[in-house]
Amino acid sequence: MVAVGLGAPPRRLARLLRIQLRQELQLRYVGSVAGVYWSVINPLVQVLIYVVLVTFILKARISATSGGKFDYAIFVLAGMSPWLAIQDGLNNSASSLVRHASIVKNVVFPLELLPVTAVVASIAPLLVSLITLGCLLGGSGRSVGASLVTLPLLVVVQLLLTLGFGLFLAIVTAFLRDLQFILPVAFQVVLLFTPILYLAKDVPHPIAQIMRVNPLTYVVEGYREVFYSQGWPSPLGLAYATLFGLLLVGLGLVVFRRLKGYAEALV
Amino acid sequence: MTEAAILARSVHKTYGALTFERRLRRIVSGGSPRAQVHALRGVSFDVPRGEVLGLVGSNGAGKSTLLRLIAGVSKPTNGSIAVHGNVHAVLEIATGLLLDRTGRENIHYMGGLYGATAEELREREPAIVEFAGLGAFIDHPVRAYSSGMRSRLAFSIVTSGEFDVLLIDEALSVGDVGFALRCRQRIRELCRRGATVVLVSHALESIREMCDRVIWLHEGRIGGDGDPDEVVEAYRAVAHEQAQREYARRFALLAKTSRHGSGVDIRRLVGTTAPGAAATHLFRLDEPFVIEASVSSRVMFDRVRAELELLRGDGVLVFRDEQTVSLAEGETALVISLGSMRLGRFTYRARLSLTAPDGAPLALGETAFAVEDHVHAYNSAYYQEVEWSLSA
Repeated sequence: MVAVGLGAPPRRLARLLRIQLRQELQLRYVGSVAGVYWSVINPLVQVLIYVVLVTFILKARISATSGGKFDYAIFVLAGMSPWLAIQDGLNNSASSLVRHASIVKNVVFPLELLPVTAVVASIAPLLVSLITLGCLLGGSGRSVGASLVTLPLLVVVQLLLTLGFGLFLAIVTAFLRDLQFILPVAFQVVLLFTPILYLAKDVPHPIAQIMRVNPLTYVVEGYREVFYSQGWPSPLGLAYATLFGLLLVGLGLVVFRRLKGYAEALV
Repeated sequence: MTEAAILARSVHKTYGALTFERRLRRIVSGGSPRAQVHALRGVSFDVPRGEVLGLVGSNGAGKSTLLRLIAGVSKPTNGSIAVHGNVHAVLEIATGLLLDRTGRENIHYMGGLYGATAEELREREPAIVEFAGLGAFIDHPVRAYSSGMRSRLAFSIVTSGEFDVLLIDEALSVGDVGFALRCRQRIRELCRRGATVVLVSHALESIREMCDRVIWLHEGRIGGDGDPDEVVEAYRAVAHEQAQREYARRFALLAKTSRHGSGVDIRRLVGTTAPGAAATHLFRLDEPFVIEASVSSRVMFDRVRAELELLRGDGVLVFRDEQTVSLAEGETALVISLGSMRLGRFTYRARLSLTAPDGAPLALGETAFAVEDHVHAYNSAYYQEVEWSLSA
């Protein structure tokens, strides 16, 4: 109990994670009427605005859409679903140490579990987005193919990447509270360099190049393959994203552990 | 088995005392000298299993920091601290309770964080509920609890589990009398079971009563370590001296003398413990209590009415006495012995006024002093044996 680092028995860690996760979900979603929907309603309205803007006002056509009624909406939402969950996970891991100051200060607790909890909890908004997407698919008479079996893999890669960045954000926010204000702006910039509203091949060369380096690209494209194009996610892309995620988590853990001893005095 | 439960070896802890802006500037510019607060400067001790150790010291002496280090919540900057066994800690009042959840839900949440399984907690729940003694409140959200109730709940949860070392920071002083009594009983039980307990408190009497040993932290170092009575006394003496200096500084502003153009002047007016001794600004209970004045007069003055008043800080007159004195030409020393200090814990003003036989005010002097916190207090200041003495 003294040093419950991540070296503690896995069963204990799992139990602590379960307790924290239940607490986090209850805290966020119980007590508000629409619960988990709030974390996606705002972004969904944003999606709606993009759809109206692109299909009805600009009358633009994404090269991949074939002109169906909900085509662009499905196209955007397929890519937006993981992105919304990633944003949610990053926001909550960034604030995790500060939010749980009383645990950081008082309880001998493996602090790594705080951002981990925030990242795992981001599955909740993902589910809401996917349910909405499912309704949209059903409403437009489209279906998904066999590639749906790759969805769990996509989710895992997505969580890995979220955790990788989340660990850094969590520990850095304890030292530099400015980060919580920088984050929304950063999300807008990342959105620009991730093929969510448009295809990578439709954008100018320099941006497209950055997109190819961005590991989120392959997660987003994977979702779109599954829910929109009925194709298979790129194995090479996913391998790259996985590797990227693993490296990031490893590095994140090193940094997190080096700095977590100082967090107690700051939160 | 008499092995050490806690081993601390020249433990240092420094906190970066940088404000947010300076921290940012430092990150950007890459290294201005780092401002630091030294909370602990080399502290070493062993705590054998089953011992109740008390930590005393003034605010900022490093007590809570040391407790956090023992708990493993924070790491020493230098040196090492080793703890054998499970640690449970009540470090802050209402440690980590969830405000929106009921007391009962908190038992399961906090208990879980401290490593108990759901089953164990179900088993323990009735005992925890009973010990906390919150009645129907146990099913109300913690938000609605008073701070005393919160600390009762936290204490009950934290002390219920299986552990070897228990750390308690000031938690005992928040509950009411009945709960404090039960806390002491519980701590004694735990010790019989072999648990090691470290208590931090400013309630020196309870520390003295409960602990086998006391460590006094003074400015981040160990000022005394050993027998509770001796260490607490040593700490008290230094704390008294510090308070004395502080009061002297504060009261310097309050002291005043005023002349009425009469040629009589109260040059000096002080409270002290013995005639001729240095001025005392903070009295202990039962200490000798003397008011000393030095009056100068240009001419000889007979049948001057001297009046001494003691006024409590809130203006209530607690004591008054008068005497007819005669002033010599030049300096006259006036000593008023009031026996032993019987005033309650408060700040006071002593006012000496001199009046001519025809009623004209001659001079007025005021000084201030305080009486230290003490356990047994006399209800009123009642001085029967006041002795005025004059010497030219």
